[in-house]
This record gives sequence, C-alpha cells and structure tokens, in this order.
Amino acid sequence: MKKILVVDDEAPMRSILNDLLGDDYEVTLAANGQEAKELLGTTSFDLVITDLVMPEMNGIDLITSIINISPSTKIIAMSGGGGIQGRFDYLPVAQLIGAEKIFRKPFELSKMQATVAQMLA
Amino acid sequence: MIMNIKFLGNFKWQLVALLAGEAVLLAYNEAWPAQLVFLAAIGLWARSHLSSQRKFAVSQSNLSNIAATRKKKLQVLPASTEEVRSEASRLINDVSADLVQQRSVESDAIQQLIASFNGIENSIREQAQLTQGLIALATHVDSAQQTAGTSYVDEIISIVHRMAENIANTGKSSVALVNVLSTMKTQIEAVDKLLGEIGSISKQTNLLALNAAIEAARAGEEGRGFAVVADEVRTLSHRSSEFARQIEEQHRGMKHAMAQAAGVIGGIASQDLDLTRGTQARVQEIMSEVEGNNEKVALQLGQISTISDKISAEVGVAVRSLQFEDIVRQLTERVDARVRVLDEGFLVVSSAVGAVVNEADPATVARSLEGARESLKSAIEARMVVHQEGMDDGEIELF
Repeated sequence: MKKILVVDDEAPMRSILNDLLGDDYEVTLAANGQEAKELLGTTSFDLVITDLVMPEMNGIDLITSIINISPSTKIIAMSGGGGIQGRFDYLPVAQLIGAEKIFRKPFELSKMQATVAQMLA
Repeated sequence: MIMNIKFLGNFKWQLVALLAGEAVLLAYNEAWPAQLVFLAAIGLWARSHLSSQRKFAVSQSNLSNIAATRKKKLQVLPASTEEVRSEASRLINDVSADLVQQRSVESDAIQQLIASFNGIENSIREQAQLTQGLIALATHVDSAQQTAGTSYVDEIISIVHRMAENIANTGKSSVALVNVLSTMKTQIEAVDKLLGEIGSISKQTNLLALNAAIEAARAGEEGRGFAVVADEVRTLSHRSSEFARQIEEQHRGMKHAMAQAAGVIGGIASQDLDLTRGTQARVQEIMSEVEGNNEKVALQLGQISTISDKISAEVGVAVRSLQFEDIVRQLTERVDARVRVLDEGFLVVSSAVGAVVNEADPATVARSLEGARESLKSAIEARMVVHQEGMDDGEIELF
C-alpha cells in the first residue's frame, strides 16, 4: 500500500483527507512542517500532501526539504492562497520549486482523490 | 419682747392674788358652797395658767440660748464662705492659666499645621501640573498635531501601513517574477523537447549519411561524388550532434540557474509566509493595544488629576478650618473673662453672707447681690456674640 503523508495545521483538514484517502493508502498525519520533516527522516513516503501556511515550518520550506531528503517523493501543495492580497501567491511558488500539483482551497475532494490516484498509479 | 412677756407675767400674778383675796373674803363671810366652787375654779385656772406660764418661761429661755448659739455658729460662716471663695478664685486663676497655655499650644500647633497644609497644597498643585503634562504625553497630541488632527499612534500606524504597502509591492514584483520563471520553466521544457528532436534528427541524418556512404561504395566509381556528399552530410550530422550537445550543456546551465532562481524565490516566499502568518494582524493588534493602553493611561491620569483636585479642595477646606484657632482663641478669652465675672460673683456672695451674719441692712445686701447678678447676666449675654459653631465656608463671623 502506497504511503501518503498529509501535512496541515488544521485538524479538520487532516481528518477530511484521512477519511478520503485512508481506505486506499497508508496515511500518516502531521500538524506542521517540522513534524513532517522528522517523519520524512524515518519513513519513505510516496506522496506528501502539504499545506503552505503553517506554524513551526511552512510548506515552502518543507517542499525544499523533501526535494533534498527524498527527491523521488511526489508533492501536492494546497493552500487557501494565504498572505496579504497582492503579495505572494504561494501555490505557483510551490509549483515552481517542486510541487507537482497544486490545489487551491476549497477544492473538490473527488478531484484530489483522482489526482492522488493518477500520481500514484 | 422678752421684757413685755415678763411684764405680762407679773400682771397675771397680781390677778391671781386678787382672786385669792376674794376667795378668803368669801370664806370669812361663810359662803362655803359658793366659796368652794369659786375656789375650785380659781384653783383649776391658776393651775392651768401656772403650768403654761412655766412652759412659756422655759421657751423664752431656750429661744435666747438658740439665738445665741446660732449667732455664734453663724459667725463662722463669713470665714468659711471666704475660704470657699478663695479656693474658687484660685481654681479660676488656674483655669485662666490653663486657657492661656491652651491658646499657646493651639496657636503653635495650628501655625505648623497651616504651614504643612500649604506645603501639601503646593505639592498637589505641582503634581496636578505634572499629571496634566503626562496626560498630554499619553495622548501623544501636541498643539501642532492637534491642528493636523494626528497623533503619534496614528503616525506609527501610518508608517506601518506604508511599510506593509511597500512589502506588498515587493510581493507583487515577486509574483510577476514567479510568473516569468514559470513561463521560462515551460519554455525550457519545450527547448528540452526541441533539443531531443535535434538529437534525433542528427542521429537519423547520421544514419542516412552512413547508408548513403554504403550505397555510394556499392556504386563504385560512379558513386564517388555521392560518397563525398554522404561524408559531408555525416560531418554535418556530427557537427549538428555536437552543436545540440553544446546547446544541451548550456541548457542544463540555464535549468540549474532556473532552479536556483526558483530556490531564491522559494526562500523569499518562505520568509514572506512566516512574516505573513498573522504579522500584520499582530501589528494591528499591538498598535490597538498601545492605543488602548494609552487611552487607559490617559484615563487613569485624568482620574489622578481629578483626585488631585479633590485633595487640593480638601486641603483648602482643612486650611480654612484651621482658622478655628482664631475663633477658639476668642472663645477662650471669653471663657477667661466669664470666669473672672464668676470670681467677682463669688466675692459678692461671700461679702453678702458676711453682711447677713453681721445683721447688715438686707436692702443693702440685696443691692449688692443684684449688682453681681447684673454682671453675670452681662457675661451670659456676651456669650451670644460668638455664635460660630461650624467651620463651613461663609459661616465665620468673628466678634
């Protein structure tokens, strides 16, 4: 069973993704980038689905770490856009530095499910 | 009066003797029944009369004795009364001395209290001025800023907003840069494909040239010219391959630079993310807190100012109330004067007692007492002049 690491500081979002993907994949949950980075040091994940705006370590730094620690791990970035209007739209940045797919919250769960299935096929 | 009683007593005895003679005369004339009745009547009357006369004589004697004794005793009264008056006079002198001492002590204490209260009042006034200064500082408003309608807090918020705007503009430029880099990435990927195509074409050209060379060799002498062309084509194919390799090498450099640029952008975005995470909201929150605290400080300083005003007013009342020293001084002087009058009254009463004992003219004694009564009455009326009972403002009416 493919391993997925879901990283989001919002507990409801972690729970939603766990329910969505838990039946088909081995899902691990982390509340921030730092926690995720520590898990990445001990476990090899096939896919990381990460939020961008998080405490401790943000999603951009986490993506950079993933590329260095585990280049083969695929990455999906998701975000509500975040930040002050007119400043960075972090999702394109995430894509620029290595996220294969991006999801702007709120998104259709079925699309996420289909994308994950496609990436891990 | 005793002489009169004695005279009356002698007359009665003469009457008894007359009646007794009459009884002897009746006996001589042998008028016995009538004589006996008459004698019995005389005897009874005489007995009764003699008894009362005896009693009367005793009372007269006693009265004289009592009067003498009483007079003797009364002779002591003037001395005793004088002693009492003397003691009272000493007491009154002591009271006067105490009043003088009390005035002195009160006066000193009150002068010190007035000085102290004046000092407190001055300090409170200075404190109030300082507080007013602090209020002005706390609200960060000076006269120029009041004219402009701005405060330090507003200015700080404005600066923060300008900084945030600048950062936002930088962010917009960065977003544009991200878009450019994304486009470049797409184009580099397209170039990758084209380079692959060029490589493929080179390989096919090389293969074609090789085949052409083989076919030229088979053709022999006729194919020599064609072989030269095929060789040139192979050479061109090699040069194309080399050229494509060199482009690919440059392209890798571009991709690497592109990745570095993406990394830099990522770093900027990461910092921005951390900064963005509630930073501006927090700045607003802090500024609100600062503003709120300033308002609280201003409010509390205002309260302190109000309290200072109250204290100042209270001290003013206290200072005003200390003027009771003047009133008390006048009252004690009045008390002194009144006890003096009392002293004189004692003297008059003492003299009156002496005069009565020495059987002076009662009218004279009464006049003396009337004079003393008038003095006391005057003293009582004098009390009415000082009717200051409280220390409230406007109630002071000194005599």
